Formats: sequence, C-alpha cells, structure tokens
Amino acid sequence: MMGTTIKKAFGVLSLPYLRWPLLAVFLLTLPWTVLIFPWYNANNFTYNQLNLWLILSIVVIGLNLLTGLTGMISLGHSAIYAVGAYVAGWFLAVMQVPFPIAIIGAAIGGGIVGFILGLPALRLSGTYLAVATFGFAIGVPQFLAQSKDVARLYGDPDSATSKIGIVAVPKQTWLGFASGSDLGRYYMFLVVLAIMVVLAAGLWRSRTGRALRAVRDSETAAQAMGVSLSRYKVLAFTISGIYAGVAGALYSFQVGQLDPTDSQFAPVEAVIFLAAIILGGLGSISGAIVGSAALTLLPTAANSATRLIAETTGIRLENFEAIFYGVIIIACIFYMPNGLVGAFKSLYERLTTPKVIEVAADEEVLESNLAIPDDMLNEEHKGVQVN
Amino acid sequence: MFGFSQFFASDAGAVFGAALAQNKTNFDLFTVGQNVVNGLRFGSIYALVAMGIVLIYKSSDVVNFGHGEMGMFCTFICFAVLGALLPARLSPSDPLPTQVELGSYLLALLVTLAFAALLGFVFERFLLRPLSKAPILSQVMVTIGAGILLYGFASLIWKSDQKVFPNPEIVDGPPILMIGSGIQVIPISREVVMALVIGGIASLVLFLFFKYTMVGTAIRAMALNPNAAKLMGVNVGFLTGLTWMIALGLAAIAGMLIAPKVSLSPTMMAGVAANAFAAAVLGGMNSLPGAIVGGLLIGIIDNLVGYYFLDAGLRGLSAFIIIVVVLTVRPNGLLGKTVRKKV
Repeated sequence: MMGTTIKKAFGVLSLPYLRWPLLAVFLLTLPWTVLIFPWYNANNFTYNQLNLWLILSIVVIGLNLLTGLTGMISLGHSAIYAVGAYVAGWFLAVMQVPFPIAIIGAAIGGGIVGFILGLPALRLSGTYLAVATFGFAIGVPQFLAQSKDVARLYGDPDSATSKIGIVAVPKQTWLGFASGSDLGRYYMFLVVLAIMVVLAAGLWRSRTGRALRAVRDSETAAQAMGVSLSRYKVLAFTISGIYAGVAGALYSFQVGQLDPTDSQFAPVEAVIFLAAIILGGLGSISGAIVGSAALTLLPTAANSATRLIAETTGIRLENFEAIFYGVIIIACIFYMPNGLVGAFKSLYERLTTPKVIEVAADEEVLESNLAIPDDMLNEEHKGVQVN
Repeated sequence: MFGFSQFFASDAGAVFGAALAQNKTNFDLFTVGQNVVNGLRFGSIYALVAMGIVLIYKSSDVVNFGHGEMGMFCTFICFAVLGALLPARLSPSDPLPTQVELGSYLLALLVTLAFAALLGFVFERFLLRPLSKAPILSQVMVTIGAGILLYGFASLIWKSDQKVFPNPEIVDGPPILMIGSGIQVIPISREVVMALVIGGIASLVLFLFFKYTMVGTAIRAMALNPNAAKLMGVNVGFLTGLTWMIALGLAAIAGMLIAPKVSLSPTMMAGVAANAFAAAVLGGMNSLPGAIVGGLLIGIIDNLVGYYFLDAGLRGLSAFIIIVVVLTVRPNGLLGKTVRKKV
C-alpha cells in the first residue's frame, strides 16, 4: 500500500528521539547546505536571509502566543520590534555592555512596551484592538525619527538637518559568539531562537497557557473558571512584547545601523508578522518558523521575478512584491486556512490513512437497512425513513 | 514597502510646523486658529473615510483595513479618466494641470464613484462574505491583503512617483474669507471650504438616507439585528453590498480631496486611513455622527500637536494616545452605544 510506504518514509521523523537530533543537525548545517543549491547565487540568497528568518521566527512565535493562543490581534508589534532594536542599540553603542545584556535589556524594554500596548486590550477586543495597536505601529517610527529626546539619548542632539534617530550598533565578540560575521550571528541567533522556542513550548503547556487558551475560546467561560481576564490579556501582550524586543535586539546586531525609516520598522511589517502566522498556521510554534521562512523567501522571489521581467521585456515593475504578498495572504486564507503546517499534516494523514473500501450497494439494499421496520412504528409514523 | 513617513513629510501641518518650529512660544489665537482651520480641512477628509469604516463595521462586523488603499485606487481611476478627458496634453505621460473644468471633474467623479461601488460590491461579495464564519484574524487579513494587492496594482499600473492631481476650476482663486486684521489674518482658502462643504453634504445625505428612505431604514434594521431583519423581508446580502458601495464611494471622494494637497501616489492614503481609523474608534465604531466628530477632532489635535510638539515627535503618536485616554474613560468611544455581549 502507498500509505504504508509513506508512513515508513516519514517513520524516522515520527520517532521522538530521532526527530530533534535530526532537526538540530539540519539547522546547524544549514549555512553550508544552502551553499550547494544552484539558486544560492542566482537569487542573491545570502546568510543575511537565514539570519532574518531566525529573527522573524522569534517575533512570530511571540505574536502567535498572543494571536494563536490568546486570540488577540496586534498590528503594533513592528513598533515593539523597533523599540527592542533601539534599546539594544543604546546598550551597545552608549553603555557598551556585552551583547547578552543588551538582549536582556531589549527583552525588558519590549516587555514594558508590550504591557503598555496591552492596556487598550482591557477595554477593546477583536478589530477595535487591532485599530488601536495599528496607531501605535504608525506612531513609534515617527517618534524615533523626530524626537530630539531620543536623539539626545544616543548622544546626537543636533542632527536636526539630517535624519534623527540613526544609530550605529557596534559589533562584538563574546564567549566565542561573534556578532561581527553573518555566520557567527547565525549560530548566536539559533541559540536565542532555541531558548525562545523552549520557553514558548513550556508556556503553551503550562497553567498560564491553558488560562490564555480559555480566554481565547470564551472570555465569559474563562472568567467563570476564575481566570482574571485583565491580568492574562496584559500578560500575553507583555510576553509577546518580550519576544518582539529580543528579535529587535538581534535585528540591531544584524544590520549594524538603525534607521527609523527602515521598512522593517514600518507598520506593514506588523502585517507581515500576521501573514507569517496565517501562512505557517495559527497557534503553532513550528507553523511560526515555517511561515517566517516562507515570508523571508518571498521578497527574494519577488525581486528575482522583477529582475527577470526587466531583463526579458525591459519593463521595470515597481513594488511587485506587494502583489505577491496580497495574493499569497488572500489565497492562503481561502485555500489553506490551517497554514502550511496544517496543510502538510492533513496531506500526511490523507496519504497514510487506509482508504475506506467502497461497497457496491444498490439503493434497495440501503433503504432496507435504513428504514425502520414498519411493525416497530405507530400507525401515523408508518413509511417514515431515517436518512 | 509603504512609505508612511513619506506621507507625513509632505503633510501640510508638518511642513507648516517645520517652518515655525524654532519659535514655540506663539501660543496665540492666530497660530492656534491657523492650525484649527488646517485641522478642520484634514479632519473633514478623515471624517469621510471614518464614516465609510463605521458603515462597513456596522454591516459586516469587520474593520476594513484596506479602506485607505481602496480609496487610493479609486483616486487613480479618477486620475486616468481625467487624463482621458483632457485632449490638450501631448502625451499620456504628461502631468495633469492643477485645475480642470468643473464639468470634466464631475464626470470623472461619477465614473470614479461607479468604480468604487463596483470594487466595494465585488470585494464584499467574493472575498469577505465567504469568510463570515472564519476566525476574525482571517477577516482582518483579507482586508489587509486586498489593500496590499491594490497598492501593488496601483504601483504596477501608474508607478509609485508623486503625481499632480487637479482641483476643479472653481476652487482656484483668492481665499473666500479672511479672519482677523493686519498681518495676523487667517485665510480660509477655497480648498478648505470645498473639503468642509463636501464633508457636510455627504454627512447630510447619509443622514437623510438612513433616516427617511426605506432602504436606509432597512440598513439600520440590519445593523441592529441581521436575523430579525432577514425575517422581516430585508435582503441582508444585497444591503451589505450596498453599504460597502457607499463606504468606498466616500473613500474615493476623500482620496480626490486629499490628492491635490499631498500629490497622488500609492502611499497617499496610508496616513489618512490611519487617522481615520483613530477617528472611527474615538467617535465610537458604531456611530456615524461619532465618526464625524472623531474625524474633526483628530484633524485638529493632530495639527496642533504636530505644530507645538514637533521636537517631541509626538505627531504620529497623538492619535494613539487620544484613543487610549478616551477609551479608558468611555470604552465605546465618544458617541458610541454600549454593546452588551450575550453568552
């Protein structure tokens, strides 16, 4: 049978003691394995993208704790991400501390901003909340770009003529983790991601995780069970803020220079975080990582498509990636409501489940089976059949 | 991807504020008045967009995050129609003049409204309605996805550079009204009057429509209780589509009003829509008068904050701060009604 063949092929993966080592080996060797692919050079695929994938994964896991686990939509996470990057930048550039401290600082900063962003959640729900957080996402990059106080913090108060808020983040080496090279950063980010995944998985299964899920499924029922809505809603925002803050810190290491007009801090990035959740699968950690990978590759694919069209027809398309994003978001909602991970799971199940043997049965046999014998019925119900 | 900051760089208030940013002590009637007038102009545009957002929220129970981009796309359609109507230009790539005749402007407006209605109907019928049972995230994301898609199409067809968008000819001319005397005059330009008049007319028409016509009453009944309305013979599906058509028509008008000021580009409506969302929440998501009040308030406050607190960089955050403060006191917005949740 075909199903058993597939089951055997995936059988290695279904063994718990082999799955994790295999995944670890895959991730540890990924920087070298991408080298052998022919599209490595052709599509401008660089380590930079691997690192951006890991960073995006961390934010999306955090946002999934909020959206997938607690059922609240935030369009403000790009702002928390920006704050995390600027806090880490401040720790490294001004305080000149080792980068793990900068990451912790960014986590605390992100947590505080997440807490503030969570305050409207006490009063608002659903789309109201999304609107309120969206305002935050628009405001923060402008605040960073215009505020003289922020510029003063970074020791550059009088750059009124040029752009305010541009911060250079120095490279560091600490305990063998070099943030100076892409490869060094890859392993550093991998360690951080692993820690964040373990923490998220723990939270998922903990008492708090169950409380958050109860809030998502029915606020009233959760309240009746003694779950404090306000406490857990703000807690979920704070935790996902910590994730976004950590990711922001890693982003500041990756780019080395922070710019408030960076598209990574623009409100549309918050949409991309949500799109990664939708694409990967709502409420799953692996979905967050897979969705992030897809969305990291998307602009590259769009860029190569644009370049290909420009080379062959001479027409330069502007913002072509927007059409990619739009089509993929809409198509995914309609045709893959459970995301890539959900689609893979259902495909695997369909292939491995033995097919039900179809029995040739004519209508008469079926009818005689389904009909209730007439002598069991009252006079008035005679002739009624159960479908 | 979206140049949100571009918009604010070209925003009237920011430019105005930057010129006088050095002198922050001029907190007098003249300066405040100038900012209020400017704020009213933007505010009535925010109100138009916010009314559309509220209409959609009441009928479909979803916030249309693509509202700004939909309005932007309709404005581009108007731009194309105006381009076709003006034979004097040598080539289609020439910029449009800053003024056009009222006749061709109105004709282009009609075509644009027809397109907006079509866009609204198609989006509601084929993209949103199939998802009415889907989780709220899917509904939000489909509106965002449509917005991104329209942004992509607009950049693809018309390129992303900034374009001149004309006003009708009657708007050309000296300010209609001067308030004050000497050098301290607040000019009320014809553009400001046009924005206020169109905003006023739109609100009045909507008010009369919902209050006195059969269809308007049916829409109100539908917003109140869709199932009961259905039982009373109201065609809920068609009327939901109709509200979308009206809402996008309002967004298209707002786009045509703002485009001459900020230049036509695919990012044109991003900042406007953000403020309009804030306005809708501020006024109360289920209240049309609330949207008008919220729009005007956000317009004025945004301009004043942008002028007096330019160095603090609070211009963009002001709308968010207002929302949080107001909602802490009044969870349903200024004019919104309390919605009781049933278990």
